[in-house]
Amino acid sequence: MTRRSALQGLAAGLGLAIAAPADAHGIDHPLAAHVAQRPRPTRPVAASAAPTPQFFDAHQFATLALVSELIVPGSVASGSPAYIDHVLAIEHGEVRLRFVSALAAVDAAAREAHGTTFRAVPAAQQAALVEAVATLPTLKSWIAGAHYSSEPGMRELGFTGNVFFQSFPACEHAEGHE
Amino acid sequence: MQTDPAGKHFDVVIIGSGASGGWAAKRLTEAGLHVAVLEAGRALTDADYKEHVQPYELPYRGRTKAPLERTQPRQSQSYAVREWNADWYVNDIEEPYLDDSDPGFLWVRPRVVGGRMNIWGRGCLRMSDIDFKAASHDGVGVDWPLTYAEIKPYYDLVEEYVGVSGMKEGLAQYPDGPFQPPMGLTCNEMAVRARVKKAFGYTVTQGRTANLTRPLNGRQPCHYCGPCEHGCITHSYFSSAFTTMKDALATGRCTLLTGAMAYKVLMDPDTHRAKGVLYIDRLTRQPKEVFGRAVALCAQTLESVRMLFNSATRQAPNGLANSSGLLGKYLMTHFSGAGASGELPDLTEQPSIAGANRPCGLLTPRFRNLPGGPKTDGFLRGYALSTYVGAGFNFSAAGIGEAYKKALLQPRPSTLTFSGFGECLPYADNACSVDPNTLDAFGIPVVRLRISPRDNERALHRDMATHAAEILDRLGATNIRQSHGMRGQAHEVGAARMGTDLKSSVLTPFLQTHDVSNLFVMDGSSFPSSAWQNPTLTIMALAVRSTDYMLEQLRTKNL
Repeated sequence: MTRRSALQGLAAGLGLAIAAPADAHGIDHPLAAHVAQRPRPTRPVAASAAPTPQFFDAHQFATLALVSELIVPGSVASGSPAYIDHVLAIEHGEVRLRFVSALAAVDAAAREAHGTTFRAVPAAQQAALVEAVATLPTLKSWIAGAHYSSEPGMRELGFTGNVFFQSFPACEHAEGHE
Repeated sequence: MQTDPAGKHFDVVIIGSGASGGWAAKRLTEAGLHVAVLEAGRALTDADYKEHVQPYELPYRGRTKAPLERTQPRQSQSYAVREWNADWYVNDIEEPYLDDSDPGFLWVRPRVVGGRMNIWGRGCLRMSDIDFKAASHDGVGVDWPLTYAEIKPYYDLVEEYVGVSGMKEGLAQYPDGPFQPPMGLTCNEMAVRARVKKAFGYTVTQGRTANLTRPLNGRQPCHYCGPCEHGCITHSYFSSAFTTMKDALATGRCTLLTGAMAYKVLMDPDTHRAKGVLYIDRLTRQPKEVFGRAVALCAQTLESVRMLFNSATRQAPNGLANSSGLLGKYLMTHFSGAGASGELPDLTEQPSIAGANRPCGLLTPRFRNLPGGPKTDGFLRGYALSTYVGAGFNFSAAGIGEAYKKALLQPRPSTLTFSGFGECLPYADNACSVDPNTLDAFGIPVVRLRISPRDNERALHRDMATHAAEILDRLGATNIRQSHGMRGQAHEVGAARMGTDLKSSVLTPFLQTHDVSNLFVMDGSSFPSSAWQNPTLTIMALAVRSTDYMLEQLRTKNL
């Protein structure tokens, strides 16, 4: 029996088990074998901060970590700075330039307000600097994008890991809507 | 172990294993014939399906296409070409095409068994006599050489086998079929449906989609995971790879040749009949031949027409089946990219990725220039509006820190978006051919094409945006934004149109070439007009009708 026919056989039983709880993580579920056998990440890009960034220098990377955590708390633990570094290592020049410039604006704001780098500004005053920087939308877009595409971030958005639903939650109001 | 089928004789040689090729293979083999199906790509297995692979399991989480652009600078521009499935598509450097269109035309080219059926949008929209007789109605182009009554049994047959989820609406311009139960509309979608009907009389309905809601032939109902273009482990959406082709292979009379780059139709110069196909082995680059009593080109419009041009002979120096001089002309697609969106303040929604994802949006079928209705100033024919109601996360919410995280999760007004796709009129110089001086990596002359919108398409596009905004305004939407983009969809049709007159058409109404009686073209090449509907359902219905005709001709020895 091939893997396909084995899965089809399992799936055929699904119709009989229509009233059973729908959770692809249940080991009896026909999708469980598929989920178990699907490709896994070859390396845990998002699991931890890369010890040596591929794109940023040490100062940029340390600054990014601070900014990232201020904008989206939990984003360092979700590996967002490392992910951003990983992407920018292969991105087009103009994309890199835009991000580097957006990050540098944080240091520029710190220099203007405090005469030092963002990293050297007391922690209690860093948030105000980030919130006021003109490039906040760019930084937020990247950091939120990284965090909310990580597993912890997706779970904050409601993702449960379930990939099987027995029906679509359609309107059941007989009186309709206006 | 299968021996090399090169050099062998079959009843029919079919080029392509997608929508039309799958049906031809199924119908012919189930009738007892032996066929060879030449597929340029490889076969996928369930291990290739990645619809349950989450973004965080991929190196770039599907958030950049930069890694794809080196070998797929064109393919990677398609929404359906993603980090999950990019290896299903052609390498643009090895297999280029030349595009003179303005704006540029993105030709989406999977290289896997099933072709574009693996990643299609799954919209199954019937055409009607309003489309088939449009030329008689407004004087532009030519009518289809068939009626709705003639094609209806084939629509029925195809829809019942495909499994189309949809709502019956009783619209003349959008005929109903034997649908599987609809997946249903959300409360907010129901409200939009009611409001649009009340304000304009238009019908907003669930997009009719080739996704099952009931088990069918061993395929399971949709499990609403979301990204169909990444594959489907339960085979709930319709792809020829695990339906028609599977049935054909199960007969034992279908030989599937993967990695076979079809090059030319081989002609017998004495009888002027097709005798087989020359193809290039993708791996070894060896030229090989297979032979048949008939040949069916089912390779997508641009590939099939490319093959006819590349099959030119001394007797047919301008391309095979081109005595009319019309081969390649009247290439059409649907142009999209225009529309409008706005927010409905009283229809709030809690954004979440916790639940089920319906594999289709809503559709507002054509309402412009219908027979008996008012004529719209400025353009002929019409368009449909893909219609979406929903609220996403507000990632651009103000603030930072925990306040930002909390803000982006808050309920929001639903955004109502109308995105048009419209009929493209037939123009002789919207055309495709081959460039003999540009070869792909297999030594085959590549396609050169031009498919550009004209005044009618531009006017129709302006109306998509301005009228969509008008609908939104009447519904009380706020923050209304119009979009005036213009891009061709992957719906290329025409270029070998069918008709009864061999001087004004390339194919007969049964998709047989006028010039070579045992050569058929069963994909979208035959369309005399694009209509406004997604073409695949009609391609499949026409392919079945054509195959039945071919069977009868083979049975009665007319071929």
